[in-house]
Amino acid sequence: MLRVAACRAAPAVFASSSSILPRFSISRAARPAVNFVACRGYAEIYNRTKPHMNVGTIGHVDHGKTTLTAAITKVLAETGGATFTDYAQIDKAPEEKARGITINSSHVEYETDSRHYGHIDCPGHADYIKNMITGAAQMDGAIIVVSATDGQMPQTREHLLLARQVGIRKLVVFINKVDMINDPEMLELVDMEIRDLLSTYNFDGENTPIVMGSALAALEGRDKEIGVDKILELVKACDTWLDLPARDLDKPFLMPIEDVFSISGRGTVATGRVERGTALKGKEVEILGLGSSFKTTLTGIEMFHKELERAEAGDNMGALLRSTRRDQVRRGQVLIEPGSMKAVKKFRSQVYILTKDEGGRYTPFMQGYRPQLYLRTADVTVTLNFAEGTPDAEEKMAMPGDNVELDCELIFDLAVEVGSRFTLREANKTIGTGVVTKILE
Amino acid sequence: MLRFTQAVRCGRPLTRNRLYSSIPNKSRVQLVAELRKLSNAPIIKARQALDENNGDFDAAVQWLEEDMRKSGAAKAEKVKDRATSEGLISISVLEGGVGSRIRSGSGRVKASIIELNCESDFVSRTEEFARLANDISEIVAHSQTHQENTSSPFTTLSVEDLLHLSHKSGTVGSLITDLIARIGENISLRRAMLLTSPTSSNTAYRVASYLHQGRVGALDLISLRPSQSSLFNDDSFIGDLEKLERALAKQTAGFMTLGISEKRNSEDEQETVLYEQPFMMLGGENASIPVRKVLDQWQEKWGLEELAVSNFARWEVGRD
Repeated sequence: MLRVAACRAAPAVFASSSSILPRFSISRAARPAVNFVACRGYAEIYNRTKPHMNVGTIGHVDHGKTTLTAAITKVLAETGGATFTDYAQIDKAPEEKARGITINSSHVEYETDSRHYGHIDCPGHADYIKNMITGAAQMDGAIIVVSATDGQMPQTREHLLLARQVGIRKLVVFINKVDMINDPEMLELVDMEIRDLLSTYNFDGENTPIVMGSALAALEGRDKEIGVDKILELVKACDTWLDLPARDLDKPFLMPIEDVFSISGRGTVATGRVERGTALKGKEVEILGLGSSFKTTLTGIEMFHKELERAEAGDNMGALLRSTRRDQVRRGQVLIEPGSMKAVKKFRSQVYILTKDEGGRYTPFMQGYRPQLYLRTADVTVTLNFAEGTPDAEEKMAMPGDNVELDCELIFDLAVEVGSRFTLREANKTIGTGVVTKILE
Repeated sequence: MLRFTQAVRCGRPLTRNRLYSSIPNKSRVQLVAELRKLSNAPIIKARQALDENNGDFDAAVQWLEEDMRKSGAAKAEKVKDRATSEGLISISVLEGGVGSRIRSGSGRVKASIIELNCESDFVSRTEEFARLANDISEIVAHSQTHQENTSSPFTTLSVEDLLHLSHKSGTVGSLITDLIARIGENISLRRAMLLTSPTSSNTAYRVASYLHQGRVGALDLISLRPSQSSLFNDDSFIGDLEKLERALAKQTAGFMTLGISEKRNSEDEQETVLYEQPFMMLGGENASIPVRKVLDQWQEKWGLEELAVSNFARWEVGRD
């Protein structure tokens, strides 16, 4: 029997954890799609049996992104997979705040037979980047919308570059307004040009699904074969071609250490909320970061004053660690499945510098700036430099409102991997927020 | 489908020898594809161009050029009320002033700053848009505007007049309409200013500029009164001065600079005053010393009677 509850310090911790919402709501908060439901002001039961992913529409203003989004909800509403959201409702792109950053984006959700989708639409490049950095609505895939009448345009390149930049590996293409061109040869040309362009930007040009139809026809319920049928084909293409992101539960175990206690007669207990994966009593775990790293055995798991065999993503747990001294473990380290992560001192990142209105700095900064970096429960001083290879890096500055690529060098190593999110703070001000894009050392 | 793609891929090298492209055995689709590569014209237009000219490639090119002008104007008219809040600032320095290594070395200052707007930042990131902004700022810098003896060396130019300013085959306005036709977003020239040096017998003027990602731009007019004019022939002095000037322009752009030696409005914050800001952009030990103090030291070091920022413009896309 692990008597964590008997320890004097521990009850406070567990009291605070019990005040945290039940587990399912914590996981829900991490899933943006569910928030959209909440935004609508009434409760819906969210069926968790289907895997979830976020897709975004990217395309030229006149090519019919919004019409397509509306059409998808209309068509899927017929089978109960969505609530029809009309053009006007989607087009608003309300301003929202994520980690204090203002982002314009609109969301809808829908589901197919096999998946649940959160669908994002932003007016600009910067909004998508902010979404990626904050993780507010991370896009796992994208639908590129191109009008058949125009074909790809100079900015289509920027659309694909953006998709690359936010880490999308697969996308589907919807060629819209085909009823206005009505010439199979020309449609083949649009198809060919797009495939060429996709390949140029390192997407799979040969195999990417390209669906040709008319979103308006689908919306207006006419010309079924280029309307509704094509919307269904597009959705099907998303289902089959776009890869589902790994679910938190399926990833290797990770618990950021929030606090450490010593319980006489039992040993050292580290507490925290499981970020992902599953912990099993008796399994080997690794403690990583802040200059020390070692393996030990998880001899006990406690949650809500009860001893458990297993804890999973979203759970607040106390981890009893075999033959570990209290001073060997610190807040800011992580408890992980051995070998699943590395402690890192240097990495590349995409960072958004908050504006003064968002609570950030009002002055720029130069290379060599040293704020505090907050990642999970850790905070460590970091030296910021423009990404290696940036021309005139010595001369450059980063201004509030900028999206910049920075190389971060920590004074202590931390468990960092591509996709880890962090904030930069100085004197009680959040000055930037970023996401790791590449591990350097 | 795959075979078709392959065929056109093989056909591609021909685009480099356009002279042969009118060979009748080339498919209509191939010709449309080439027209698109050449002109960026919408698919529907490229096809129409070819059809109207019975498949004659060169005639189609001409037709397209003609049509882009007409349809561009129509398109521009159609989108003209759509909000343009993204875009780029562009600066063009034609003559850098006394001792400047830029261009003619006439000793005068002539530079321009413009703001060109579009609807989305996807478009402002394209090469095409950046080139247009750059072209316009150069045209503006070259423009002969009768400088009245105003108190400010900055002349705000009428956008309406600029649109009619002729340039090569067209006008600034037609350059913009052309891009609207190709890009399909509303594009508008929001503002433009010309900087020319005041005439003075004992003060030398120079210009410093800095552009931050096309989003923020600063143009600073620097005034100097050296004890002897031969100083401007001293390479080490000019080198040192250029470094300082660049830092000044960067400082103006990087901070929310509103005034030079005093606040523009009493409620403004102290950091909006250039001279009071820590001179972060010069770096090193100067990074925490106020700009004016650094200028004073510099003035002393080189034996100048005066060194000042006499005027500046700081523009940010979408803001006043």
